[in-house]
Amino acid sequence: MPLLEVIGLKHVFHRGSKPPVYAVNDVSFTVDAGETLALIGESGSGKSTVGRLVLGLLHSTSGQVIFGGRPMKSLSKSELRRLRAKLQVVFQEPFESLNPRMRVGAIVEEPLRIHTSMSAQERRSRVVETLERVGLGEQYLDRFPRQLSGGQQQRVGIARAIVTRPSLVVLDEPTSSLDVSVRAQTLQLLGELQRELGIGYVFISHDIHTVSHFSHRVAVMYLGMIVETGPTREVLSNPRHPYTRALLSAALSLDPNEKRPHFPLRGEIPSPTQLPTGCPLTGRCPVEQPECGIAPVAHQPVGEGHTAACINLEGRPSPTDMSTSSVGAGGAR
Amino acid sequence: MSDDLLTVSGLKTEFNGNLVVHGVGFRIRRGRAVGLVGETGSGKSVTVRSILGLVRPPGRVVEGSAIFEGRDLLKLSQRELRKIRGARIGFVAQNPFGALNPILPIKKQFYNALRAHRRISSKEAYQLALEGLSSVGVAGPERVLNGYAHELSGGMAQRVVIALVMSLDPTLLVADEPTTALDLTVQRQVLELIDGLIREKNRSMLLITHDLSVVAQYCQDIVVMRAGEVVETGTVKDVFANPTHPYTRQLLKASADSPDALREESHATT
Amino acid sequence: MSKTTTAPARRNWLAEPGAKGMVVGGGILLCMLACAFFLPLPYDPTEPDPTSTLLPPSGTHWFGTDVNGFDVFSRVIAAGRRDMPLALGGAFASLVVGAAIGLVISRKGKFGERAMRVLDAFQSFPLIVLSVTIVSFSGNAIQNVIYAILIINVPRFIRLVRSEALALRESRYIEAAHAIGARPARVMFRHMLPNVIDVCLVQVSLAAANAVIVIAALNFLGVGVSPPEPTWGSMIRDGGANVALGQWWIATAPGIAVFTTVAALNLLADGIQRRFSDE
Repeated sequence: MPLLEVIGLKHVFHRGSKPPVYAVNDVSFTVDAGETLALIGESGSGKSTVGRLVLGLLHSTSGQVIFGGRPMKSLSKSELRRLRAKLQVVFQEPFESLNPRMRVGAIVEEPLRIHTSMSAQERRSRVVETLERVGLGEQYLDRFPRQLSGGQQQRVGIARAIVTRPSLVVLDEPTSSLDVSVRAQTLQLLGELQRELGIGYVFISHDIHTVSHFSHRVAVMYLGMIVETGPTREVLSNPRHPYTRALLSAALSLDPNEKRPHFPLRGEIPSPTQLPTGCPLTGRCPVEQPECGIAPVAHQPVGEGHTAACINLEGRPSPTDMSTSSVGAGGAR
Repeated sequence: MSDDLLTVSGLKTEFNGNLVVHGVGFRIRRGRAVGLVGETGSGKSVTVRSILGLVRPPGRVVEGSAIFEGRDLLKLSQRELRKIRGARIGFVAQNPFGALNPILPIKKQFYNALRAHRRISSKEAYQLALEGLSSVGVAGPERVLNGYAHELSGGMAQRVVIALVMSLDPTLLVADEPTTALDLTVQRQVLELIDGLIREKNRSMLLITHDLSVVAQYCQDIVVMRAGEVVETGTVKDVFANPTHPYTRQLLKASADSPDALREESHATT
Repeated sequence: MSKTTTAPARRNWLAEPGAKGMVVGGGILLCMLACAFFLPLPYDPTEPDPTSTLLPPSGTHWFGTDVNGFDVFSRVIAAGRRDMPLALGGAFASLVVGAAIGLVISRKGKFGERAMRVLDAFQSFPLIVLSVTIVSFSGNAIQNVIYAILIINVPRFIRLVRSEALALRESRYIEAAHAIGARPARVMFRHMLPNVIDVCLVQVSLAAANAVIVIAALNFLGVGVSPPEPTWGSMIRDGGANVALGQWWIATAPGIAVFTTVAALNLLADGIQRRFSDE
């Protein structure tokens, strides 16, 4: 039984008089124990919303999130709260996610106070053990978040997330706000913890290369839908969906002599209040065909465990009248 | 005409009595793009603002020279600088919405910008704006011109700013982290755009960034700054192949080691 | 922004920003409170001495005497015994009431918005006029002075707590608190409240300063005064006429007391604000 199963997840944000935002549009995936699934997407892809839905911080407008075999919607509020001992999160901005008035020890201890009946002594020793495990020591117990560096603060966030030995942790861009020099260490720590504790990760990121060393499988999201998914190595070396190809080609080489081909998308990402009919990339795709805008596209198998939602996988060039049109002055927020 | 468009030497700037730029010097030659790199706190932004005359109290340019087209920018009055800023030196900042007036229609902003430097009717300005927007790949330019800044996405707004800046036809374009705030797929598009516009008329560019891969791909020369000083300069090909200063080597290594830079291979954890 | 300092061993408290304000302001306040309650009064403030009326300040009567022969110094101190706790108590009461209401109406949705509009309407009255009116209709009792202080100060706390609560609800660590499974009560008391408290303390100090003035003003008008109990406000009124006659000490002494209290409270508020504004 998979640790996490997401089936047909959809989420719409209703904003009163303003048009509704279709943030998540039919997302499905599974995560097994001890495995990492990366959700890759730019802003507006819906990846963060999916993260919150998986955590139960939001209730989806339709579709199911099944954790440990139990659908989240069937849980009462207090059952959902108790579930959090097993389902945790690490946020993007380390400083923002820690209560500035609480000491490190108290921050990491709190989940234990909420979910376990450990004595103060037992809690303390578990907290110290966890802090040491993330590379901080007992001397950090009495410090305040503002006294720590960004990397250290993120370690506190990680410690808080794993102190109850969860089975699944949602990592929401955990290294994006960190200095480049610190990112590698943080990812290494997360990898070690996964191997030791058998935690499953949902790793949300805007950059596929951050997760290249780290995730087993990847799902590329665009406008609330998964356009390509498969084993990370496979998708990185053999991207098939035009959006994945555009995303990968956006990365620049550090070698001045190497010029990578640019696989550009036309126009701008449309507003999530008005989704294109058919394939979400309609209007921007460099190999768009007339049929693309008609009906939603199902995933086609393109390799071992690797699928892409595209009807033009061979990359037939667009008919000339298509390539000159592009999304108008849209992309408004 | 000399090969140098802008020569900066011995630039010292202080804030509240503390020197933040300690004698910086470098050259920008005609038709070449120079990447000014450094981490936060290196003083790269202050350096550029000093050159452009945009440093206000409690900051002060203490000494140095910045010879641009034969004149020392640091010795000119604000009035004379205003004629140069825009018309001869264009500036694109990180946040496009900071450069666009939220309450004026875009076409008015083009008009104001052009009008500040020459006599032009609003009809002519509109035409130029239209052409400018098309050249930066904005589809539906009429709608954009008649609309407002908040209706644009980040990438679109940055294109509008670039069109605005380029409509004045400057010889030097100064870009301060122009794509950092944009989505990945848009970043490369905007960089390619800027690159094309520079080459088109053999303009020069000073590109300030912390991202070495951007410099590798879009600049010919590089200036490395750290703690208010220049630690290394040279052509991009030379410096990347053989960095002499340890800090440069450190920067290159950190960029190469960062997971973001591991482009070729991916080993999933087992 | 995070800093890479290691934990400081012992912080130099005086070097902290705002510390001087807190120390000076708080110190003056404590001094005055101590005097009010513990200083043995040289003379009984309610026993007039008809033989020594209108004496200027001297070695025996530090602030002189008034028209009834009361020792002004003793009366000023005695009045402080009532006026200061009243002001502080009124300010804290305003905090408690205002914070409670503010938290309740900080939930998202139309109810909160509508409640704020009602508050706007309420605050558009000149509140001191409103409170004086209400108090003068309900009589001279001391509770009415407290009601006046509440009427004037509760709105400020409602607004403050509500806006802080709204801002906090959006903050990441509050979301994190929910994410670790904390119950709403825990989120409110363990996470939201401590982060709101310092701003509230500043406002309590300011509210108390305001209350001192309100009390003095009301007492000046005769509200809440029962002679021969001394209050600063009534002393200022009674001594006001004498100033023209050259007997400046009768009104000036309580005036200085009011001024000093208010200044101390303001200093304290400023100090707290400076101390906590960067955190």
